[in-house]
Amino acid sequence: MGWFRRRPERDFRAEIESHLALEAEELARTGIAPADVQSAAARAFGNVGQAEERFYESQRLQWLDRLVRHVRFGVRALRLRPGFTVAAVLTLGFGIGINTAIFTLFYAVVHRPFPVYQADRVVNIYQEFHGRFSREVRGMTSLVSYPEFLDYAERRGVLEGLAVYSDDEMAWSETPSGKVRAELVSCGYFTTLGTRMALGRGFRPDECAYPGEAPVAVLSFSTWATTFGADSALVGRRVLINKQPLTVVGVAEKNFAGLGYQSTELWMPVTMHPVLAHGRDSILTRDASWLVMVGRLSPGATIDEARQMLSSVARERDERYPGRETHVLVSRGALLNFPEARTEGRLAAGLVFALGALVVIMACTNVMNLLLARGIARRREMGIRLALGASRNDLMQQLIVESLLLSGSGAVLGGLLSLNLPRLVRHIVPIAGLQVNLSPNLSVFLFILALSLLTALAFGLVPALQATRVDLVSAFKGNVMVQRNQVRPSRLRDTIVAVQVAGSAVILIVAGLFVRATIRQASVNPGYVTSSVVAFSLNLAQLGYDDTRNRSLYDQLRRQLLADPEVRAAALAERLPLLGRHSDQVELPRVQGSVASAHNVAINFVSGGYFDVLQIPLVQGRGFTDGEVPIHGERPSVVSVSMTKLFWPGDDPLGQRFTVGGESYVVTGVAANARNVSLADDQEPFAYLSVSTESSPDLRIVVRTAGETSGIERAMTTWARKLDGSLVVEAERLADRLELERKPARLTALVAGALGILALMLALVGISGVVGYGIVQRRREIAVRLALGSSQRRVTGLVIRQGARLAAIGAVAGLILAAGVSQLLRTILFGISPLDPLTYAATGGILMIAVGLAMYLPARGAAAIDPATTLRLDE
Amino acid sequence: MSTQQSDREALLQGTLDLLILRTLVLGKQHGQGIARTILRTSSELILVDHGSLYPALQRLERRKWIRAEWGVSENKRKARFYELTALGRKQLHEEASRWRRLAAAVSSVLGPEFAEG
Repeated sequence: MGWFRRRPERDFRAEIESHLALEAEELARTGIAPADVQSAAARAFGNVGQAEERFYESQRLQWLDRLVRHVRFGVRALRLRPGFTVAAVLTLGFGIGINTAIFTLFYAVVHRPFPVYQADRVVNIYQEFHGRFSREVRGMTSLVSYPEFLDYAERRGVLEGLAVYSDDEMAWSETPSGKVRAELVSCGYFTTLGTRMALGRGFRPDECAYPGEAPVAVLSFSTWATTFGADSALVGRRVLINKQPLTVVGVAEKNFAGLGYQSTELWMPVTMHPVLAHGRDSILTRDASWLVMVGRLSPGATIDEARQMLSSVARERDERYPGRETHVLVSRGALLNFPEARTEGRLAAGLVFALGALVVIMACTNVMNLLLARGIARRREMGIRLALGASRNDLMQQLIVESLLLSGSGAVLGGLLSLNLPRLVRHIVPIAGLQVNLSPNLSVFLFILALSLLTALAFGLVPALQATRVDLVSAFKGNVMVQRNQVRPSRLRDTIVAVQVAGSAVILIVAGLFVRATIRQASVNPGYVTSSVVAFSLNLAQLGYDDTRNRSLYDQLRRQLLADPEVRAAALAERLPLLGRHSDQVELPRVQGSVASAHNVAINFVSGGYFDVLQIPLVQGRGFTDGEVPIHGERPSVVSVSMTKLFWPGDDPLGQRFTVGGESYVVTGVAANARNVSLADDQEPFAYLSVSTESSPDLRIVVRTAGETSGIERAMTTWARKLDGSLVVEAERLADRLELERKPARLTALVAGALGILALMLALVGISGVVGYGIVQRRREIAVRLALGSSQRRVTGLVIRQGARLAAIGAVAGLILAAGVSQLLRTILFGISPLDPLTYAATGGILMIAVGLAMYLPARGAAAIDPATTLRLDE
Repeated sequence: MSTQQSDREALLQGTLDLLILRTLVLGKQHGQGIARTILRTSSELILVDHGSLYPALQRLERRKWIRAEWGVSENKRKARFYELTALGRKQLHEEASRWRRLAAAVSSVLGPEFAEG
């Protein structure tokens, strides 16, 4: 007999019937009248129904049964109050959705394994240098050089494979944009990652043997499919990358586009770098950080073993570098893993998660408040159910199940909302080929599940305890005021309301400050013209131009530009305002007896016409003209007013000398302060150094036109292509740049504003709940007052007083808190004081009006109480 | 299920289980027969509440101390017969000796019978 098979009820019933029959026969034998036999047998058996019931209880999965009942009841209870349910589910859905989005993003960037074969064995390897060291850094210090990689790769055993890669943008005229996101990789790259080829082959080890040896390339599947229409004859064809002929030997498998956050379109052996970079490479440099290293653990090997092995290599190497200590960091492969990002990212992630937590807490307190209010309304129901024999446990379970239903629906809504995340990210981060996998997976699902359980407990437990603590007598009298010790729930609700008002005050003030900052930012004078200015950059470095060809090309283009009637001014510059910060050490020559003074100052290399193009006013001296020959080896320069204050306070700055990067400069003019680095700061010292094509290979041509710039942008492309078919011209408008600069602040203001309004709504619902509850509690008293001739206004005032006190406490606490919090934002507020009186006054005003309204509506209800009915009902 | 009810069950449980096991030593028996036998052997003193007999049988069956199968009684009636398993036999010995120790202990505490009244 199978013990796990449950005995059917039918079988049990048959047994009892047989029992009764046997008993009846037995009794008949002892001589009882046949008519009484049946009832006597039944009497002897006891309660048939009870026996059956006990059997039933012992057989069924009772908890499941009860759960189904609770869920059914809960759904009905929630449907009966659609207003409450919708409010709670929306609130929770919003809170859970935001947090799910944050978690999904965090997971994708920090934890999600690479999309490769057996990704759990793929590790990121970084170096961290301590002590004295000097390196040429491209990207991050934690990257490796090619000779270092070769050292590491010599050791086998723990690592089945080791590879390096470095991404680089290269010129390729066959693509629509004329460029390609390429990756230089070691020849074991594909085998290490386990990438298969859709077509042709990957790289052979011998192809990385000597620099410049193997001009071969592998295409990504999507590039092959989109740019070349999936032409299988492509393998074996020649392509021109950075003007160098390469042979396509393979197409990588679908869905693999490198390990970076931007998809790779083309791979080439790292040893081709000298050829592709036209000699500006660092393939043989030992002390250079430019290659990302990844490894594949041998089956069964641990990360620890890999670290030990690689560390021993690093230790041997350190012996040749006295004072240097290299730490090797090995971690399971993920998108954002390098040590620099980890330390910087920790703060950012902490802040974002804190914001998310704040939203969930606000949502929870609000739903808790709603539930507390509902618990009071359901007192009678609870009383009846207790009186009918339900245990308090039962009721608790019921209420918890209702909370779980709410949070579960919230989670579903939140999950649906967070599905929009990829679209949102693509909108905010307009990077071509962005590959961050934001699709939901098990971890995200578990996160939502855990979050919804947690929120259900957070908002559901206390109200459930509160609601089931019912005194039967008072519940039936419908009079919740009788007991003096019943003030606790209202005190809890009071606290929640005060906290909510405070929270919304903080968020509203931050939002207000950002709105003010946005307005200030839009009206701020950057110190230069922004409309009709466009900068052209050319990919000369990729094409291997030398200085002479650079200069002649720039000259030709400028001549052509200045001949165009649309063009008002044109100049050369390393960068436009707001396009990142380039700073260098500015040193003053050592004067006898004084200490050399040096500061890190933001700089820009510009040609003579630059001040004319951007119309930056010179307040003293003159600018410089093109082709101005350095006098005594000193190049002319213009410095900003704030720079003169930093270096030569009280002295005449004209004619002063300084050096930057070994070049000597003399001050020929002083320019008015301009917001060169950030729109928020017009006081940053700035130096405009006269450009030399040698010192800066990547120059932009900056142009100011009479009207729209689009005409000149088209013309520029035609001219450039005529000079060199491989030239790619990129136009960047200063107005767009400005727009981009303003976007974050505007977005922050928008988000903070939306959050603030949401928080305020939650607080208002809370306040009107408190006032409404106060009215229910004091209904009799109000009725008596009205009956004794008190005016409706006095009654209204009486009711409002309680809510007003809470709102005032909350608002004051919130304003104080906001004054502290906003100090952290000082640098991004465009000169708006963190204690901006207008913002604080406005927030206070909004709070007062909103709170007043929230209280007035229920209070009017109080005044409308009919004393006669109320007093009779409460008899 | 409230607490008081399960308290009362726990009090009875050991004893009833013991009596059922003891009855089955004599051989296969159906529920009604078990109840009858207990009544008879206890000199009509213990009337098994039939409502708790079946839950007890159920419980013992689940613990594999007894096993059951449908059969025909001596007066040709279909009935479910219970039979002691090896495990049940072992359990009976333990329970019985525990019960005897307890009974002896209780009566020694109570001492000689008092003259009452």
